Amino acid sequence: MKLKFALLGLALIHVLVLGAGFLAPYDPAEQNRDFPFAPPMALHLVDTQGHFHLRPFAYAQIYHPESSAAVPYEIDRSRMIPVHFFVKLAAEGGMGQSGEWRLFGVAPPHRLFLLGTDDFGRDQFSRLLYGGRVSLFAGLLATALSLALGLVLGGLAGFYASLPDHLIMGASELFMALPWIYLLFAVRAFLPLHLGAQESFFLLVGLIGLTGWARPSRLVRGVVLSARHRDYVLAARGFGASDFYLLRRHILPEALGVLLTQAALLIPQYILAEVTLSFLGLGVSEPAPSWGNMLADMQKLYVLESYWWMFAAGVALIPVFLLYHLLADALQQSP
Amino acid sequence: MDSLLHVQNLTVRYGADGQRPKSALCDVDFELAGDEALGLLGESGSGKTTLALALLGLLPPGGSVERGAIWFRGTNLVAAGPRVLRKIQGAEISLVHQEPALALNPVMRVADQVIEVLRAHQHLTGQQARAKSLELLAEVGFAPESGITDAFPHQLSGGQRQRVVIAQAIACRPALIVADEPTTALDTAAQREILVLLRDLHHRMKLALILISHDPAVLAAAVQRILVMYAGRIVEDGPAAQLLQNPSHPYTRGLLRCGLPVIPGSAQARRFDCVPGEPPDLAALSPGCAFASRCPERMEVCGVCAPAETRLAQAQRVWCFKYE
Repeated sequence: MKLKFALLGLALIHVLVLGAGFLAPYDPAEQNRDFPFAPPMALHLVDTQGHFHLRPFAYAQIYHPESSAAVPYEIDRSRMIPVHFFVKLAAEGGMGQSGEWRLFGVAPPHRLFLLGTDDFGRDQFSRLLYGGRVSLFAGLLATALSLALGLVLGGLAGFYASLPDHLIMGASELFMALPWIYLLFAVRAFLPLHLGAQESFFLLVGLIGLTGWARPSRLVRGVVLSARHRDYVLAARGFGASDFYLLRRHILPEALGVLLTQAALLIPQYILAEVTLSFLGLGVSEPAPSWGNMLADMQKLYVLESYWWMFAAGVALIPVFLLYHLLADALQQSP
Repeated sequence: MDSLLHVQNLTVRYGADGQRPKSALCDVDFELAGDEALGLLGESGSGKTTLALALLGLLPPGGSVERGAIWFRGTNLVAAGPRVLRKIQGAEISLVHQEPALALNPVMRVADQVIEVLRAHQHLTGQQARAKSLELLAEVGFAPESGITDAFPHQLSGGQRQRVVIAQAIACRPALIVADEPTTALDTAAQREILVLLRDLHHRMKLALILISHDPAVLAAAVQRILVMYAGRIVEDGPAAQLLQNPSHPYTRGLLRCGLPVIPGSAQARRFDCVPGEPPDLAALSPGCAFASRCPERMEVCGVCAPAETRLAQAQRVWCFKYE
């Protein structure tokens, strides 16, 4: 039950971010300089006269640049912007290709900002979806990397014991003693400051994954250590099975359960690592969005004070973390 | 004699660092013909299992062959490298374990476990291997339609599991099967089944068999020749019937008297016979006969030096000063 709920929830979130190219109304890098820090626009079905509309609509927002209010926008209830479904994206700069189908949108020159905009007037809703791709998959890939490393190194250490064991476990202790975030800073600071979005993504994944191998490898080692003396392993050796075969067929499958639980714990941890690094400007670089660099705006006090919708990425992290931890819990309890 | 296996002065020690090494086997020397069924008889700790593991090159960490040789078809297994050993293990010599419940991987289907033995030594396609594994399982008494071939080990009884292990053992048509107490973990009926099966396979497939047991009755049912072991040494060697009816070594005699009486109140049951004392500490053996401290017929010479091989009539050998 728990397991199903967690898996369904996570699947839903991942489908949402993967479908960003269809679900997001705008390109994540598209700027609207006329709408800096626009507040979220609500969708309505009933207008001011009490008429019901089947097609949802939003009210236009008017920007008053000369106003001294923290949020210098006024809702103009006389202008309704109807939302259209299955629209073709207009060709207007940015990365978006013209002619792409989108789930919904409004007719230009109107804009629809479901979660408001940032200081460049970029649609936060679109950025949240596109940025989720980066953040969620950085966590997944980094976890895959460190589990793969942990599986190989832990398998070797546990199976061959003696010298390989001493070396690998010694190294893992060293890695566990290192404060990883400073290590990441150091390594990231060492590399060229400006990298393309893709390079910086893979660099980040590589760094996080490589520094995280110690814990999974220790877990795997423990399982292998107890499994390699089982009678059926000795029996398999007795009919001429090679070391590699024994590890692959009889020993490492036992580590699967531990690894799955470990994965469910590591993924949110690594998502947070990506978010932290990007927040500090060491991760995915602008204009490509990630939940980390979306939150980076919050470093400014006036943003923190006035524009609550800029928290969106932080709020989005909460269900992701809760679901992953629920998954870990369910995996651990499952027989 | 043209023998399949010749174990020559095999001496095995177990020694953890800093401890006095234990001599698990000492000058074990015997030959085995290609169609012979040999029994190893002895108490726990007499070195039977160590001998079986040494034959397959599977001594546990800390155990090492100190001297001697195991000649198998012209190859010295003691000196052979892991590559050569791996070609022999399972293909030419195979081992049947004591605990069938533990010797099978609990999460693999029975047929797959037979297939993995086949695939370790032969290049077969998936279908060929599958067909062959069904054949092998049929050979140990499982019809393909019984559904056992696709069962998991926990769904089988002890006797059925041991049959699967035997199917694994005969998968590559080995020349020698070493069965280490194959019936110990089984109930009486299953014991009988397995013994009959082993004897059958021995005759039908013309393979040599080394059957290890602490129970003389088990050996009597299945083998032609028996080696009696005590404290890692062979103390008596002879044809099964002769040795069981007419034991020469005091230890063999003691051991044969130990069988529990089947009928309560019978003359046999009035007294519990046993071999008095405990097996000796293998790390601190005296220079004399290892059995001397428990021997009811001890002589002065027994504590001084070890007895040599004495040949009695009809291929019987005994290591005891009484016969020298």
